[in-house]
Amino acid sequence: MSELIETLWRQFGVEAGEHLDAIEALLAAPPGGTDGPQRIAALFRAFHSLKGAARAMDLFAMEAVAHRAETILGRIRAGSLELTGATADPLLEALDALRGLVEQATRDRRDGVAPDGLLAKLDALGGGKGAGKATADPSKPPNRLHGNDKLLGLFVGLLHDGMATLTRGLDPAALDGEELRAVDDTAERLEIACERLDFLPFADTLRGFRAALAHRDADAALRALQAVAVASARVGRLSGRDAGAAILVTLLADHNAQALESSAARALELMADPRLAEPAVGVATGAELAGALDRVAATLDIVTLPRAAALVRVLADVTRHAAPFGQAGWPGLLADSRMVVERLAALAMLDPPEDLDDGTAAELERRLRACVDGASAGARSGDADAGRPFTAAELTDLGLDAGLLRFLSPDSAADLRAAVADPAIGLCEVTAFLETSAEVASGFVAWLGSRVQAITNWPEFIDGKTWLKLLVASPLGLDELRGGLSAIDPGGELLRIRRCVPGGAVTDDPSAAMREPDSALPSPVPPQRRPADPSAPPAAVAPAQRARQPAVSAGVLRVPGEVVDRFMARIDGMVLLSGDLNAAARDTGLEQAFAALADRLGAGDPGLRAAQEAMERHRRDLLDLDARLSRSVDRLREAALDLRVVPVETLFTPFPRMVRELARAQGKSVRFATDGGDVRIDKSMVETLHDPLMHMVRNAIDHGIELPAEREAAGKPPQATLSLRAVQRNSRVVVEIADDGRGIATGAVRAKAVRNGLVGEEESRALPPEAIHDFIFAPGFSTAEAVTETSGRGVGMDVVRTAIARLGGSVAIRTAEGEGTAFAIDLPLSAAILRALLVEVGDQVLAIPDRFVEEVCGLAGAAFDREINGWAVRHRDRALPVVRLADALDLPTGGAWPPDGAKGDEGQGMVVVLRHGDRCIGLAIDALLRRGDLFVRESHPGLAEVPGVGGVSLLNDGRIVIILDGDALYRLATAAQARRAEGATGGS
Amino acid sequence: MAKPTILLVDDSVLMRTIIGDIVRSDEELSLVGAAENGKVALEMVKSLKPDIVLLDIEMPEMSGLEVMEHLSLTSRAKVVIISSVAQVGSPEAGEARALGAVEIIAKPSGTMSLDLAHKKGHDIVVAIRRAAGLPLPARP
Repeated sequence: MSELIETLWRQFGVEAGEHLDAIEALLAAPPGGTDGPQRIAALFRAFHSLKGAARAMDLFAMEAVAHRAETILGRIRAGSLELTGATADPLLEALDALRGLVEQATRDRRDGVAPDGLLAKLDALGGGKGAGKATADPSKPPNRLHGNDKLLGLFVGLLHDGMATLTRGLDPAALDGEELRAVDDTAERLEIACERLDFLPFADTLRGFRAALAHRDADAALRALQAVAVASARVGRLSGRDAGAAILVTLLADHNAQALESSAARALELMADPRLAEPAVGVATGAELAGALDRVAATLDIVTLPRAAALVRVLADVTRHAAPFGQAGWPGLLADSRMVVERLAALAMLDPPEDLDDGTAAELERRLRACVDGASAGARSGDADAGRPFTAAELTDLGLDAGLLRFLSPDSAADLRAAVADPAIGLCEVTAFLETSAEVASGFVAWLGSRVQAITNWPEFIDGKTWLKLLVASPLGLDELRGGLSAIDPGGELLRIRRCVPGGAVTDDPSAAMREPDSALPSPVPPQRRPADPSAPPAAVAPAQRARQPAVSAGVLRVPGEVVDRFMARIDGMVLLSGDLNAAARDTGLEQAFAALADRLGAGDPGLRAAQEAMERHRRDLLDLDARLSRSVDRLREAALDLRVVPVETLFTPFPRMVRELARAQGKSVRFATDGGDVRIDKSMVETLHDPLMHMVRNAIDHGIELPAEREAAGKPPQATLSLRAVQRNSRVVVEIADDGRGIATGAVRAKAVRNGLVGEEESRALPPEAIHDFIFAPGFSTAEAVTETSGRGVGMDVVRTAIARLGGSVAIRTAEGEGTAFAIDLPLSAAILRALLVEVGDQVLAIPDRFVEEVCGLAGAAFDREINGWAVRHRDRALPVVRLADALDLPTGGAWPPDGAKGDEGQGMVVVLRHGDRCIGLAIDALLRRGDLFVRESHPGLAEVPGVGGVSLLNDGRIVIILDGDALYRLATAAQARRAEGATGGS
Repeated sequence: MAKPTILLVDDSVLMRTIIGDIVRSDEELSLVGAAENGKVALEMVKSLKPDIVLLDIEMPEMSGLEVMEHLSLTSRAKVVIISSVAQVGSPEAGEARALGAVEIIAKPSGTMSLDLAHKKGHDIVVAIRRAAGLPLPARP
């Protein structure tokens, strides 16, 4: 308790002094001027804060003076008084009195007495107790409308700013978890705002958008965004402000145009397919066409062209049910339909889009229906019983979903009856996705034509994509059918088949039997992963960047940060690709193959010789191109990095004041110098670096810098120097915090480390001073230090190191007792890209930052010696301690350790030699992948706290890479080495 | 049930220390952060998503009422005003209420003479607990 009280008194002294200085400066400035109102407001706040502080500390005299001064300023603020000499003088008197009272209070810890007559003088100006409040009232009437208008303004601003983020929801499949969360976060904030402002339908729309996002339902997200665009446009109109609707509308229009263009193009292409006229093979093509037409119709709906949408739906229905295939009038009708689709697609692209004229639509629809009716009539006139409709119960008995009823035309019902009647024929359900690969689609159509009979088909929406499902009959066994399909789609991702078992459900889908008979949907497939879809074009990316409207002013382009981030991510992708190209171009295998070829050829066939030369030339061109491309990509990346950097000055700005205050509070005299403020660093690093720097500066003043008397006694100038400087070295930045204080007491730190159990007493004596100093970064090390109000708030140097490691940096200490301490934070210029060595342990890919890697060597045949501290190998005439990386990281391990060459189990072991200062340790790994540039993503806070982990990244194939922190890794490896040594000794 | 999380916003270190101590004295409340001005507060609300924001009114940069305007649109946090300006019946109190403040309470005073956690902090703890929907403690 008393400790808290001490702290409070100290804080009171600092704060009151600050307010008094501020008041003094404000009152000294000439009255009037453009900053008048702000000046009055600041004065008011300062007196007000003094009053609050006085009251908290039971200083009634001081409170009384401050309160009266505040009242006067309240009147000035309200315009009923002016700040002239007549008012300023009593305020200056009040200031002097307050200074005296603060001084007395901090010295004696008790209240004083206000000077005679001062209170009365102040009351006279302020109009007595409470009068100030009364006069302030009319100036600030509680005005709901005003409040609402302001809120509305804020809301429109939020909407406008959030629009760019929302539009990313157009392509939910392309968002990773973090990006999805960012979009959802923005939508949630807007949803809350809508609720607060009673825009309930708008809030519902946003909620719907978030639900669509959560399900990664692109269609629903698109519909919701369409509604957002409409609502934002209305908000913009009503408020007379820019709600950003135009951005969204443009983007959506682009998106729709693109969707329409691609689906219409696909539909038109299919409609031109001559197979559509043949009943045998038309089924699958017809189903695919129906899918494309459905998408055309969906887009037409969105751009509100109802006639065109309705017509396209009818056309889709007709082709899906395959009814008219083989009808005499069908080819002609198909050709006419094709022309109409072509026309409506063109009309929909106009700005504004135009709908089909009523006559054309009605005429074509009539002809389509007539054609279907004709086909059905023809089928019915054949075998009356064969075409008899199924009942739901009959289907269920056959092991089919009752929902299939909807998709059984009289023809397909007849086919199904025939298939069921034949005991040699089995029914299967095929699930196919035919949109990604033309080969698979054509292979599948051929398969359908030759091996099986398609009875009916229907579309099904699974995981954001429309799949084609077919009910097929075939005399072949399931395995044979499956074999046929896997020949077309070896991955098994696009084509799947299941047997329908009579009397039960579709196999491996027990829930199907339990569904309601009138369920509208056929049996869904069990949860499946979305098929790999590498060839799908990244939809709506290009327009997303084109349509944004950056504000241009005086040659400065204002671009939202996320656009830059996305741009950077694309460039990073390109850097990675360029690395892959480089690896492919420089593949030594190719060189060896050429050499082998040249050997075999000798001086033989001149024709072959010419071919070989041509290939060589081609290879040289490729290498040359690769070199030029990688230079160009490097330059592009450097240029792009410039977009994200800000002068380090912005990071330094708050420090001079902080240093001044801290020094004053502790009675220390500090000269603070900054240098290199023009060095530029990544914007994101400024945010992450602020707290660690703040912490280190506080530490320097609290613990490093001595009191003036102490300094003089030590023969130093009484004023200490604390400097903060930044230096750029190539692609790295070093930020140094240096003081000329007492330095780190090595002995004290060692004693404490021993006490905390970080190191054994004896062991500690053998450690060099640098290793001892390193203990201040150990977790929990600083929390036991004397806690002052400025440092030691439970945030230790371990947190500082972790924060810096997350940026891909490291921190080093230089200290000498009695002379001072310097911390050097070494950071990459951009936190985003890290050159690292990728290795594999088990099935986990790990990345070790390149600058910590001395070399990589093979372990095969090496003899392990037991050293004092564990196992080691002779390497370059030195004993290199070696530990398994898996052991260091506590990952599961397999096999014997150390490998015994005599038993032949040394395998293909590789060792990464990790460098830490001038010491090295070998880390045994399972496999070496490659060296590469990684785009570091900020890791999950939970993961960041795992020792040794510096961040995560993704490989091109989507695998997650854990990036190790070199410093921490070294410590973990030495610790594991020691552990293994003890284990081995204990075990033998 | 998770403890209600609380963000404290006050430009005075002194007040942050006193009020922080009061909040920490109640074991069913969790103080997750303290901000020294409105701008920092809004950023912290965004990342910490506290249940309750304890807000001062008179602050430089951005006043408590301005902070409330932003908060009311972007966060579901409940706002408890701790201010000596917004006394009951004052225009500031009215405006704060209109913006959705659930409690308005005076700043602590007389820290020195009394046991602050149990006596002077009582009203503040009561206001926070009421905002959080927790049972109220008996008056000490």
